[in-house]
Amino acid sequence: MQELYHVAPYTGYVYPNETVFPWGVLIVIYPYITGLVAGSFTVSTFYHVFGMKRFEPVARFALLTALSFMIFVPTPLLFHLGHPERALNALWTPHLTSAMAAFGYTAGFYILLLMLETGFIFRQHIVARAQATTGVVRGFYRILAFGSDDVSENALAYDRKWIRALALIGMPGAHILHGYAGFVFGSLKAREWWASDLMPAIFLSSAVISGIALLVLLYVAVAKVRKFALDNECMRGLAYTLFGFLIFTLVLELLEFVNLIYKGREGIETVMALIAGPLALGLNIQLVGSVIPLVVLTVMIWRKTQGTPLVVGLTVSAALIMIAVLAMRWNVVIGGQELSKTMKGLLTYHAPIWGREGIVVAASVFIAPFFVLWALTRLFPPWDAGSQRA
Amino acid sequence: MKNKTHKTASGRRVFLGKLGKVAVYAGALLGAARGLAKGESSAAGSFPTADYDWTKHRWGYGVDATRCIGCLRCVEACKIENGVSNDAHHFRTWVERYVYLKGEDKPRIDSHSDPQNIAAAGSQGEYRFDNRYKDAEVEKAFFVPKLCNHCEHPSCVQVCPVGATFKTKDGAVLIDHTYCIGCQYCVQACPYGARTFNYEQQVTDKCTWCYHRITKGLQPACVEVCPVNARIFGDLMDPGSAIRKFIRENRVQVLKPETGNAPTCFYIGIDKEVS
Amino acid sequence: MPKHIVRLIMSLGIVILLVIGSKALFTADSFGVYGHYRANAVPEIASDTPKYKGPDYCQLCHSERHATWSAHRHGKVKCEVCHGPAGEHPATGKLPIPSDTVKLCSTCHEAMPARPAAQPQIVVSQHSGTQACIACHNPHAPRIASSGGSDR
Repeated sequence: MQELYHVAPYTGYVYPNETVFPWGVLIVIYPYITGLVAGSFTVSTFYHVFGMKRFEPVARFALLTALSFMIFVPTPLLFHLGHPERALNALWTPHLTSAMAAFGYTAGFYILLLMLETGFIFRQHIVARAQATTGVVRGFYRILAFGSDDVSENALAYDRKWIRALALIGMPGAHILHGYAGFVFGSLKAREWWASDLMPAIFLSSAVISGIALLVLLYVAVAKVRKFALDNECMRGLAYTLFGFLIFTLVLELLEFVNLIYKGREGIETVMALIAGPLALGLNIQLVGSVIPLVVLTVMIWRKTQGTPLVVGLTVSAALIMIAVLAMRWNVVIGGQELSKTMKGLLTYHAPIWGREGIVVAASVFIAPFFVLWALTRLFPPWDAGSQRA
Repeated sequence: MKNKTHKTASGRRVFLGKLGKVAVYAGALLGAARGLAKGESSAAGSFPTADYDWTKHRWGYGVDATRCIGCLRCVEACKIENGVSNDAHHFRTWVERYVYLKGEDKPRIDSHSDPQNIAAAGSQGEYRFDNRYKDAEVEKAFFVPKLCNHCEHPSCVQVCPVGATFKTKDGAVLIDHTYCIGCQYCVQACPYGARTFNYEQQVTDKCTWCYHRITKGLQPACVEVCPVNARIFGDLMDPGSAIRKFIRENRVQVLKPETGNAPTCFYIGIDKEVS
Repeated sequence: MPKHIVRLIMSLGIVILLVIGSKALFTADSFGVYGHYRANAVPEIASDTPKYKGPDYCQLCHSERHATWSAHRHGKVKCEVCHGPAGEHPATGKLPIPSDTVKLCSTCHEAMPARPAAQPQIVVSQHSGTQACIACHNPHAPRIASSGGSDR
């Protein structure tokens, strides 16, 4: 029995069922990945819905990023489930009072939507490939083209309409998918650290900054590898949005934190001990990872920084934000469980390295989308427009 | 040439489409037939068993903490009766000990799963409170038996994504172990820490009030073995039942009333620090 | 409307129908009859066999012991508390007769803060040392007559 689970050390009094953590590092990775989807899709909609031209160079790549990560959103949950073979029960008999029951249909709908959006945006390329290739490759592209090679002006007009409509539906879709993840935690009155009305909003806005940050890092990395120049206007646009959403996120997080402390409900001493104790490292990483980018971005926007300094400043900020948001997910998911429901004790979670719910599996689930993204960029080159423009 | 390939491809697609439709209609018909069948079966006789009608009972549970001697026979009997794993982290009921030492304003609390108590018992399959306070100056001390509160508005049922946990008509909150997906959302949602995850079966586990016993006219195992009547069980629909008497004759309270879960386990003799 | 759009809409329709059809097909039998759960789970759970049978079951064979026990002070401590669950006994063999009585009896009678004052308690080392409890006490009628009071 002992090897099946880890008994967490604790101080004070915790309920005897709390020494085994129900949700581990996989459930930290899960909202992190959905957040990256919501964030990168948001950037893609800036161009495809709102027509913000400066985001054009990354818009198509942002969509592929969202799709790559979305494919892996269900995986941490499936690894976590005691009976993954019964996962579809949530589709056959979704319990309408359960936030979690929404996941199957919402995620299914959203994956479908992202695939359709990708199909439409790259349709000209798909048709061209279907005509230029032979064999299996040709079959693949032909299926994607629905057996049609119609790229007449009339057909393209339809495509543009669908692209806009899908992006328009996808926007609330992405945000519902991630707001829902926040609700899964925020709606639980049993856990003081989670039970906050602001939780879905915090999840959402932090998702957007993590997604933008990921795009910045990928854009800079790809430009280095493919040796094309970064688009200055696009980088500035990313800096502005990152700055805006970062402030929004920090204000929400601060409000939530102040509310918790100010209300000072029963067991507030234990909450303070959590902050100073088991969660101190995580909270400090989140704080430093948020404040440094805020300062850097503020200075760059004030000084209208351009070119290489902008690239360096933005890349550093993005990297720190990626870490800060991961820490935030940890602090919510793990922190909530380290604070005992008795409000009289604290536990310390030690993530197992191996095993179904270990760090290795969680890291693999996070890294896998990058390989899929690489494969997708081979099938649907997103850079043609961007690299020409630069 | 190009046109020809095109035609076959679309022909295949139409065929696949038809196949899909056939499957859908067949499925829908089958589902409808099943619906009819289950309507018929539920109409006949009492439910859930031939001798027991769940609409004729409404169970309730009482805990008299002033009587509990902390012998933990309830924990042992519960595990044996329900085949719960033998280690200290899997259980369906537990007992807490609250001890106020002189000069301290907060109690020291422990339960059967405390490492020192496991050591005193000899193994995780035996249950005993050690005597760590025998030489201490104790101001006030008592034991509190705990179990699932079988709430009127159970958080665990609310959050279960698939309907694997539910409240029966006679008041018990049960788990369908063959339907649970093992997400542990219910473990998170329960404010009372009453659910554990069964790592052997990979499903969540909880107190059923020994549903297989109470539907046969027996008491739950924990109530059956309690040597001091600290645990009381009975039918709230029966004015002469032990639980109705317990509620009538005492000023009872429930744990964490602020959650709105409305437990149907009623306590007497507990202290403000018990939650 | 272009061909690919028509085909796309048709495919989406098929996907939706497949989901609806699968939902009907794969929904478990008896699900939703009484509420959002598998109704058959209730009789399944109710069908488990009780292991603790209660003193009436023991009385069927051990009527003399039962008479002594129920007339005395341990009458509230049911047979199976010390002897374990009857289960399929006697078919499955004898039930244990506890050998380490100091350990067993002290489970309830070791003097311990938090035990209610009404509970008879002893400091084991001062009371009898390592001597077995049954040397002086009959577990079915525990009070020793010489100590004065009656056993009820």
